[in-house]
Amino acid sequence: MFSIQATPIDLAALRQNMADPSCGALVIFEGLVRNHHEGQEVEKLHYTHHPVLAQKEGERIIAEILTKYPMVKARAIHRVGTLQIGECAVITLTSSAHREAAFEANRLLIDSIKAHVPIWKQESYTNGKVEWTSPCPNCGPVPHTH
Amino acid sequence: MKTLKALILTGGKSSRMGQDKASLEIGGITQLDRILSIIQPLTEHLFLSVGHGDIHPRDHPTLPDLEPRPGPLGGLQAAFHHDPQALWLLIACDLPLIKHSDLQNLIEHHDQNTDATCFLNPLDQHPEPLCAIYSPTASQKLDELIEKNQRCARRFLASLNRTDLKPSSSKSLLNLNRPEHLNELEHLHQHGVIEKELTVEYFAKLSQEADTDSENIRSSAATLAGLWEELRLKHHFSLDLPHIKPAINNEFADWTTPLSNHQTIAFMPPFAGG
Repeated sequence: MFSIQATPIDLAALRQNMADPSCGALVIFEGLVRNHHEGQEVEKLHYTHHPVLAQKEGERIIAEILTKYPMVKARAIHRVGTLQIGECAVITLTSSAHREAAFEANRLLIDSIKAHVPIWKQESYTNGKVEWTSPCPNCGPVPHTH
Repeated sequence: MKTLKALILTGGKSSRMGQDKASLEIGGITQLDRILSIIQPLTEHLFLSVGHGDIHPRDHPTLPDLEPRPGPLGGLQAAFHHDPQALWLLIACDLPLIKHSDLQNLIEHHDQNTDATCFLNPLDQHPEPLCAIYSPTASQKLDELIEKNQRCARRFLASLNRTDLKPSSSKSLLNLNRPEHLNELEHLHQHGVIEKELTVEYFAKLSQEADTDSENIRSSAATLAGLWEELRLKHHFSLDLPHIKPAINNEFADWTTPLSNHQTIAFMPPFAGG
């Protein structure tokens, strides 16, 4: 399941929803708002999205994950609106009987969301500047480490 | 009355287009042959601009650039070097929708007291340097610019004392820069120019640059790529086609997709979620 919401993410509730007696592994990735970007001090972020296409793409990615990893359960939420430093902007949860598939599926899930879901981020810096952030030039279909 | 001579810029291999634009065919005729056919009735003094040191024989007299890789202004420089007293009609070969009547209009309205007569591109209101008549007075200013190693044809024309004209249609000055534009022109050629009412949505940086999230427009673009080119010029977008994802009625679409009346088109800059 994929969703987009303007309200804070309730991690405890999500964790509970993912609970499954057959799963021995639950991998949770949280993308958090950090206080710096390319040397500038960030004050807050504002996320916007294409409502129809973002939902459609997110659902397509989840379906793709479930096809590729049939034994995995997957769930992802992306926030929109204004977020403060430290808030969770995106969360991906994957569970499976053993940790390997859950780790792999989670990595693919978050990378695919970043590459394919029409969501944009506007950063407000402490010096008063506001900028639309360009994705990292290395971002794309090839997974990489930030 | 000074003699009118024409110089056709044949370009060479275009990196964005991936091939030589002069030999591109639309509707069974190459771009070069089409331009020749509309210029020949206007002047018997017709030259092809070719690269420095190019002595390859052509069907028409050639004017090689005076130095290697001088850019389009190098063609004009070679033209004035050849005949400093002529009025030079400088024209790119990749203007597939320019008409004989547009060129006739340039000639009729050329004022010998101004440096140049040109069209303002209706899409962005900029003077178009590669379809214009230049007076001998422009020649000296051109030499000064090249001396300073400035090669921007648009900036050169903008600095001249000009007569500005309106082309016969909003698409007259459309040029061929990408394979998607060739597809657009083939559609226009096959199906004609059909006006459509469209709703266009912009996201993130594009909505900021357009100063709106959405607008209702009338456009005669045939495909997504043609529409993007019109709107890119209208709103002076900082991003171009390779960086944009288009969608039609909430489905991602290819740039070559034809448009229909009453569609909702979305243009999206690079995604930056997470």
